[in-house]
Amino acid sequence: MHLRYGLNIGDHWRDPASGLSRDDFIARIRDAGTALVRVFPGITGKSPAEHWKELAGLLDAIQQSGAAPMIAFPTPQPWNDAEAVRMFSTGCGELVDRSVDRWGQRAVASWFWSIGDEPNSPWTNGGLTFEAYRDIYQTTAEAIRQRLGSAEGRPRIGGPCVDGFQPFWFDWIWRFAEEVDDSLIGFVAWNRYGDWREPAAWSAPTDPEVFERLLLSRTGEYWSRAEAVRALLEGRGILNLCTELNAHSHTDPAISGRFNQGPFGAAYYGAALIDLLRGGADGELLWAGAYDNGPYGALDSLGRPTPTYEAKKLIAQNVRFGDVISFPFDPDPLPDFDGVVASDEVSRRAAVVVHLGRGAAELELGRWPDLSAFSQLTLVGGGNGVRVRTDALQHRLAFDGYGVALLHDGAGV
Amino acid sequence: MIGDGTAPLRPMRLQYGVNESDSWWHFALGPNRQRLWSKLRELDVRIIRMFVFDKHAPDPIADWPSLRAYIQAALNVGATPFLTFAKFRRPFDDPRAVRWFAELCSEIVWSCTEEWGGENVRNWYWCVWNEPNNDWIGGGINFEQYRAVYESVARGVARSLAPWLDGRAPRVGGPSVEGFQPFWLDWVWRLLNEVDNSLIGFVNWHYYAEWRDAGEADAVGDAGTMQNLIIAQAHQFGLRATQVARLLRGRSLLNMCGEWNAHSHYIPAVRARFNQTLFGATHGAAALIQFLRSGIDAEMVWTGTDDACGYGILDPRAEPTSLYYAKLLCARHVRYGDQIRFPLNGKDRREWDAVVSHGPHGRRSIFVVHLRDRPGVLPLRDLEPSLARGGHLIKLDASTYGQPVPLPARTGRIELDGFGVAVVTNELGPEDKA
Repeated sequence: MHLRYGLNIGDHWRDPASGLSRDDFIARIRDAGTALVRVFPGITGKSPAEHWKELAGLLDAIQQSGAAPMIAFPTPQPWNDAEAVRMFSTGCGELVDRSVDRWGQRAVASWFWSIGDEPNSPWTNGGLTFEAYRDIYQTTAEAIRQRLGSAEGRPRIGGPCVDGFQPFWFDWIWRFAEEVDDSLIGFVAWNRYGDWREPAAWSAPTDPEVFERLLLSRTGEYWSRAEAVRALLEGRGILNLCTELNAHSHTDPAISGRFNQGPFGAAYYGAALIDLLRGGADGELLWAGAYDNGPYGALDSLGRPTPTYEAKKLIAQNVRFGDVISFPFDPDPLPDFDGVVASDEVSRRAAVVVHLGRGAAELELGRWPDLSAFSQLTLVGGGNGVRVRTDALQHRLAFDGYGVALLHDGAGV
Repeated sequence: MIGDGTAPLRPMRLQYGVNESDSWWHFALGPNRQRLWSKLRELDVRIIRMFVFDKHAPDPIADWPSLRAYIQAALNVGATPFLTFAKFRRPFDDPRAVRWFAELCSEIVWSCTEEWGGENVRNWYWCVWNEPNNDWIGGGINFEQYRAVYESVARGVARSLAPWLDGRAPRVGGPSVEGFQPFWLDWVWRLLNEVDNSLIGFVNWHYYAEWRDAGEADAVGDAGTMQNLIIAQAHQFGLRATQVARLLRGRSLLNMCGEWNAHSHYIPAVRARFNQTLFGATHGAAALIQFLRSGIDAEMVWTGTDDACGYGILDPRAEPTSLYYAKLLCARHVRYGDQIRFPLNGKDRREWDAVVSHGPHGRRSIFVVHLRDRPGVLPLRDLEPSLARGGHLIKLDASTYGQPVPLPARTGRIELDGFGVAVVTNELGPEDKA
């Protein structure tokens, strides 16, 4: 298992009225087994000095949680203005300089630096071409690398964080991996949401149940995309990161909130994680972890955990980097269920089972030998609402709706 | 070391196939039809996809003799007809129009049973619609309308075949989705989850790697880069096949890729550059290996016979393209029922892909594709040790002008000039020497 868990910081991190106390923020990130936290400092051609104090505080907190920051630079606007491009690279370089001054080159070289925010999306890119993006990337990445010094291995710089709804999203990934100076690439990044349409719009199903089931069926895309990118990168030492994921990307909370933040969101995210594990991805970053007052946050505007957060925490704490993993349902699949079994080299062993149905369902665990020897069950959703409950586990695993279950023996969990 | 000569063997269950569509007249009634059939027989074509209402197909009412000849041509090849009922030009949400279309389809099935016998026709494939998820091709039908058409047509087919089915489901399927659309897999899921499964025998999906020419609509401008990008996406055939297979788990339904090729540009001369050249042969060979690896049940290249359409593997005179020859090498040396395995993994598969086949009486072959447009050498020692000690090499690359040429085997390795295909086998038939 080589998946790094992560999350994005939402768009409201500068808003003093939003979010969590500093200590709660650090605890929430740490508890979710977070290795990467992606932050958008807002460099679009201006100096980072304007918000440096707040940003430095945020980066301090992220590091105290044990996670590495991923600094997300978008692309300059307008992209075809040489002066804007120069200012953008200068601003990115200044942020690296400030970071090195504050935390030291060694620490900062362990961070991740992403360049480009869905540059393939005609909705937001202003006509940006791949060729122009490549030039911006190489200029900016070179500026960052110079400041990070000669760390061992590849610099932790990457892109292009493609919008996964675009039909030719893979073109950008392939061209990035093939056409950019190889020494400037540490990771390849892509974003993927399950849907952007509200039910009944743009040929989406009208029936709410069909819409939900269909949305859940698309978690297989995390496997196929991770696998497609993995095949392109295998043997090159470049990481394969899903930099944004969630069930629904509609900006209206009334439409997408219930898909991202309720028990449905927990089940979707759990299934997506299992498919990313299956596809061999090196990292995932939920959109969004905190500081998102809209329909995406795993923590709500008051910092309270949603079922999606609880599912993330449960999985990340028990399916860990370096574990040996297997997928018990692959040889004997069952509709509406997926799962992963993880164990370390000593004695810790746990299984995650995701229920992808809105109704009640039971599993006779004896049918899957890898699932049959656990004594305890911890459940998110599945009839519990937001609560997380631990019970003794018998031979049957019962869900009352969407849910994520951890099967374990108590020790080390 | 390149390859794993101990990768597990498994049975080969892929039915090779072709489409016979816009150029059906040459295939069915043209002066070279016998040669065309012979060429297709050499490809071990077991399934031929055809159209009844669309793609300039003969009118089933006004010109039954032509439709009969079209179907008979497929039977003469030795293939099972796969008849696509698409499409009608009345309002899709008009129940009377749907009923009329379903009855028409049902009458065609019944006519086929009268012509060829129900005991034979019951094993044919009947596909409802073509690319309904693409407004240009499918006519602007939405899924709810499609579902109503599907169920109505499928029931009509079942009714016509009922005397011969012995309670078995008819081989009706859909939705023949167009693979460029972002939510293409939704149509497969909805068919499987919203239609009575007793009316579904197979799922059919389509995939082309590209529809844009170099530099068009944000596509990469350099022709060589575009070729490399298209080749890199041959992996998609396997990924999509597996995605569909996931949806089919627990159901005894066939998983078919009913249309594929490298390029579907709207101008024949443009797509011909990709489909009907050595590049097309290389892409096609890579696709075939992906189909074999994925375990799907059938593939149907778009198309067999082709009169200046920019897709076909045979022209009206039955002259083959390089893709025909690549498919021929695969069909001859990787046969239905063989035991096959895939010896290449990891980064090696960005340069090469291969399938090893073990047939009856000790027949051993390896079918190889070179995915880079630069000279390459592939050692056989770790791929199939029995062939590394000697065998016959058949090579298709630029040096052989895109045709397969048997050569004295250079022990233990395959060398190709650039994009290309090769076979090493211990059993060289007379047809390979021709």
